[in-house]
Amino acid sequence: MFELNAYLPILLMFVVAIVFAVGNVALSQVVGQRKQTRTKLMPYECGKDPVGSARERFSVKFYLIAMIFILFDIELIFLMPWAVVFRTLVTNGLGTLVYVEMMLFVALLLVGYVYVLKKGLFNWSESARREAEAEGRVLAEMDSRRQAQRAPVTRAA
Amino acid sequence: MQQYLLTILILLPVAGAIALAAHGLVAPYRRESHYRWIALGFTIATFALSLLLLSGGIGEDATGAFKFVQNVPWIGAIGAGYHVGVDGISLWLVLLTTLLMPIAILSSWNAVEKRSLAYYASLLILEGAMIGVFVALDLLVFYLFFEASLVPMFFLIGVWGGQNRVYAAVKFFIYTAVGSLLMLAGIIALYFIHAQQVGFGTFDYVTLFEALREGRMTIGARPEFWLFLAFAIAFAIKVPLFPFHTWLPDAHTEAPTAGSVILAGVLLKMGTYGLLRFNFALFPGMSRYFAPLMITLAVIGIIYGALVAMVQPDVKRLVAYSSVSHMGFVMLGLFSFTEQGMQGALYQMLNHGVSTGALFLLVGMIYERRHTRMIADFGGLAKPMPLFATFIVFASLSSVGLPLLNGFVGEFLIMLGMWNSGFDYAWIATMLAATGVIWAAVYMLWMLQRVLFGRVTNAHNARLPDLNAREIGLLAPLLALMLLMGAYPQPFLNRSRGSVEQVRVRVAAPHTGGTFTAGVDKSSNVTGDR
Amino acid sequence: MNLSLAFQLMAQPDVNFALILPEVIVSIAGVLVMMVDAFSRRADQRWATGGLSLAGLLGAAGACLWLWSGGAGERVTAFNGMVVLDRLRLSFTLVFIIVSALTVLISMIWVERERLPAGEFHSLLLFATAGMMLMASGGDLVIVFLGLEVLSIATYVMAGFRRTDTRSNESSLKYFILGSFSSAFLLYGIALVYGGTAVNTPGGISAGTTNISEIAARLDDGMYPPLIFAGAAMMLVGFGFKIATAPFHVWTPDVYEGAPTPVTAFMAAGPKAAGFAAFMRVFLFAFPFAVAATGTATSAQVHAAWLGALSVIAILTMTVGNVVALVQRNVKRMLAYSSIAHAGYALVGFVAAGATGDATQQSDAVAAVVFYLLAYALMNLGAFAVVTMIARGGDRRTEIEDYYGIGFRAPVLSFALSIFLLSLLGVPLTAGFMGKVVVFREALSQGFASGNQLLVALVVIGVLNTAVSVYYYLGLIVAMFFRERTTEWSAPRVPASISVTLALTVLGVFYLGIFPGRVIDAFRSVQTTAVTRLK
Repeated sequence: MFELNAYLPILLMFVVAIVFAVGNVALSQVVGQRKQTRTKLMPYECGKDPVGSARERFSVKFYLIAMIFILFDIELIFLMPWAVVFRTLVTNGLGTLVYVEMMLFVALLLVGYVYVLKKGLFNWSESARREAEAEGRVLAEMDSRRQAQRAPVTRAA
Repeated sequence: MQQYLLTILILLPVAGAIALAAHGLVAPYRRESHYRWIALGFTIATFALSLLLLSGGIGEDATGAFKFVQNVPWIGAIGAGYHVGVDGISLWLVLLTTLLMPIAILSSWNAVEKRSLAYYASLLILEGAMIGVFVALDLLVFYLFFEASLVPMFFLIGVWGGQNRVYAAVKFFIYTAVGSLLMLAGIIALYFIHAQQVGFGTFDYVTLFEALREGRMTIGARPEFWLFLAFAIAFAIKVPLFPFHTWLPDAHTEAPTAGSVILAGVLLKMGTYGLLRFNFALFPGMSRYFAPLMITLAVIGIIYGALVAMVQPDVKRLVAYSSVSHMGFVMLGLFSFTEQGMQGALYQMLNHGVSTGALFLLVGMIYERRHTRMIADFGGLAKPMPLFATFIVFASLSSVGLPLLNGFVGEFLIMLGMWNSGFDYAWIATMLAATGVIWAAVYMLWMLQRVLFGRVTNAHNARLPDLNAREIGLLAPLLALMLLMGAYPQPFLNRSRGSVEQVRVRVAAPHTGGTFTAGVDKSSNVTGDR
Repeated sequence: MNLSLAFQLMAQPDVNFALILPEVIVSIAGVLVMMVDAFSRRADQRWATGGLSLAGLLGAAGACLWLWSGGAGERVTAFNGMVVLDRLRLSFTLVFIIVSALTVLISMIWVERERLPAGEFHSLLLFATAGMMLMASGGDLVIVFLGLEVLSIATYVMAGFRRTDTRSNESSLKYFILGSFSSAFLLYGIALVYGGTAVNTPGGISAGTTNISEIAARLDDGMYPPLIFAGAAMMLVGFGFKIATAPFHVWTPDVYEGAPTPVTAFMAAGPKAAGFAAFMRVFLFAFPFAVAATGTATSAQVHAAWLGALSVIAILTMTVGNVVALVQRNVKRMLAYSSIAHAGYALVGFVAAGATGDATQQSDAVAAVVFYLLAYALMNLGAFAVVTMIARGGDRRTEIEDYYGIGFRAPVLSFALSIFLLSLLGVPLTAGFMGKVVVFREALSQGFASGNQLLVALVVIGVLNTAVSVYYYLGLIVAMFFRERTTEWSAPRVPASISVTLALTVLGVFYLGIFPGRVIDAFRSVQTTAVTRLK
């Protein structure tokens, strides 16, 4: 069915890449010389001393914006081919149908846009404060709950 | 009216339960005491209506045909119909049910104080289901009522029962439910056998019976073997036949008085009724094949029940074990396949309902006064409670089978039937069963002696109040029945003769199709083939 | 498929909006609920969004019945075979609508109690419903998959709806990961089948197909049959995950226990039924009983393979569900295992439908399965409605101990729950009993007619499993009515929406249990050309 021979170079490249990567790391482990000082073990931040923890939480807003971006991005992917074949379709007498369908699609996206707008997604300053406070409350509550759970155990011990 | 009477009989108690619930939920002015009056009213109305069945001409001809028949399609998609009717076999059982029900409710008049709405509702639903079991002529409908009767009984034992009620209730439910699931499989299998051979599937008992009788439908030996077992195990658990009896002492002992009365008086009869109605009529070949085994188990049950009853320290448990023994007699009579035996068995079912019901009522009355049922706690009760003593002696003698009382007629007919049954070694079974009567006399009279006579050993017992008017009133009809049925059994037996004969002819005749030979363990054939 | 062919198809696009009216109505209702959510104050939302959802579902039900009355006996397709209209679809669609409407009723009080955004919940529910409907109506694997994803994504969110509760989060994450995993299986299976259905034609090698009846027609002409086997196996696993069959059930108890109770109720009834709809659609019609084929033909072999595998799965599912449920102490977990067991019973009907080549018998068996799932949905939703009330805020009280002695203190809730439990157990006069009877009846009917011992064995195992299940269903009733409670407890006030739910489900359970005839008859269709071998 398939002519697998054609794929041989790709396979070879995979093998070479793996051997090269693994081999170099392994080699440096074997021949490299190491002195572990405090400074060398610090995370690298452009030569500056690191500030705070690297495991920082991002506001959920970032992800939401990213997701909305993807949505509108994909809308374009749908619109492009539609635009390309639209003329042919019109000549085939399907213009109205296809036009209405696409407008419906755009309208639905608009509904989504209005929804996130009204939900205050782009209203950063105030909602961010509120959200941060709410999150803080939840975290504090979880902490106290955890402590409450731990407390009797230690007493028993 | 004729054709709706049975449906009304089933639905009237259920309507009573709904009325109770409605009263409990919406009536602006209500008291706990209202519930028992409502329940009593509905059960008495049901009883009164059920007396109309006597006017239907059942048993006046020899055909034993069903009367008061209502037959309407129910679920077209699966070929089930709603088919009810009464013949000589079920007539008395329906009347027994409707008679015992008001008595059971009267017996719990003061005994049940908490949650009385649910209590009386359970009893009423139970009544509807029990009547349904006895009049159903569609196998699916029968199964439906058979199972539906479980649920209220489960609640009666579990909520209003004694110390160990949870265990007893769960055991009761699981035993009976598991047993009847097998029967459901059997019912559906019958449906398909009929569908294959006749062209359409049916759950209708009459159709199946006619098809089998006229040879339009034959069940092969192997399927019949399994079908018989599927039905018989379900019924044997309910009866209960000897190895399946272990739920009964627990359930009887833990149940409230009314529950015990209904359990012993009616629910156990569902098993023997089912055997007579369905196993004998639909699987006659296998009924004959299994008869030796069943007879053996019945005899074991008679003697085992009596012996265990003898050593019970608890009066209620004693009566419960005596039930195992008495139901053994019923099984013995059924499997004799003779007219006397089967008629006697049917009669004995009624007797057992009446006498054991009365005994449970009496035990309940004494329990209400003393809150104990231990024989050792009593002694000399005849002095403070002469009426109670008279009644319990009367009921015990009836249960033992004293001539001129009802028990005698049934047991005599059964043993006569067994003797004439023509089975090999039938005389051994008869003799052994006869010793059961002697054992019964021993344990009953010994119990009476310890409870009633002698000096009053326990100071608590010295000033017990005797039976009051309500208690006398609810026992009186039962005692009257014992006398009537013992002295003049003919009207009762006449009504059932034709219907029993229909079944007997089927089951006693040498079976044409599918005698069982190949590949069966012959060792299960205990008395017959030696 | 080259470009000119594509244009040719588009030239007759076979658009028929009437055929997808129920889906359209539900989707529009979902969008409207979103808008109400966005433009109204939160305090007013519960009744507005709940009422709007109910109205939308009612409209969809109306559309569904309208389609039904319009001669649904004949199988109609639209959108070039993407959407089909037959009894399988319509009866399932009605089940979905009933499930969603009851879930809306249960959730109305719950969203307020838990201070959750009602609008979001209800719109998600409506989108999930639209997804379920698409799964039942898809005539093409792509539509089935799209429906599944729409449903799944909405359900993932709903499972984690109580954001501050770690159990809910865990449930959502587990469901998401394992659900995506199963979707991947399904998608991979679809891809393999697509590859396997490429056929050699005079004009060169054609493309594969994802159209369900087209797959059935091409089974024997595929160029490399192992692809089809592998694809069918993958899809079996994918659907098996979705309807929680053993051995693909391990996610169920954790997810059902952790998710908010109304969501659990919905998941156990709705998506499970949707999974069955798609599962049956795909396997009964894409890999059908090959009437004309010889035993060595690919179609016959694929059919034999999946039917055998499904029978084993059915046995495992019934047994695992019931046996493990015996030892559960948490009511939601117990009901989760019970839902696994019930999927097993329904599978018996599915196997019966697969074992026959006769269109009428098959349609009867499918109707039995739908009836079973409808019955299960009613009793399950009712039971969960009671569990929601007993659990109180935060779903905290769901252990068996929390049910001790509540029987006569909350009589309405307890008696309703008892009825549902008895129905789940299969006590006569209830829907559960009738469901079992019709499903087992179909299996036995096939078994006796064709001498197929396997089907008889399935029924026997089903009956034995019912016997096992007596113990744990009874256990809860015993806890409610027979045990004494030692701790303080006061009965929760039953709000109107829950009362309506309970009344509807109890009536439904009894109606289906006592007068099931009309419903079963309606689900059956005599004319459906069920076995479509388009050759």
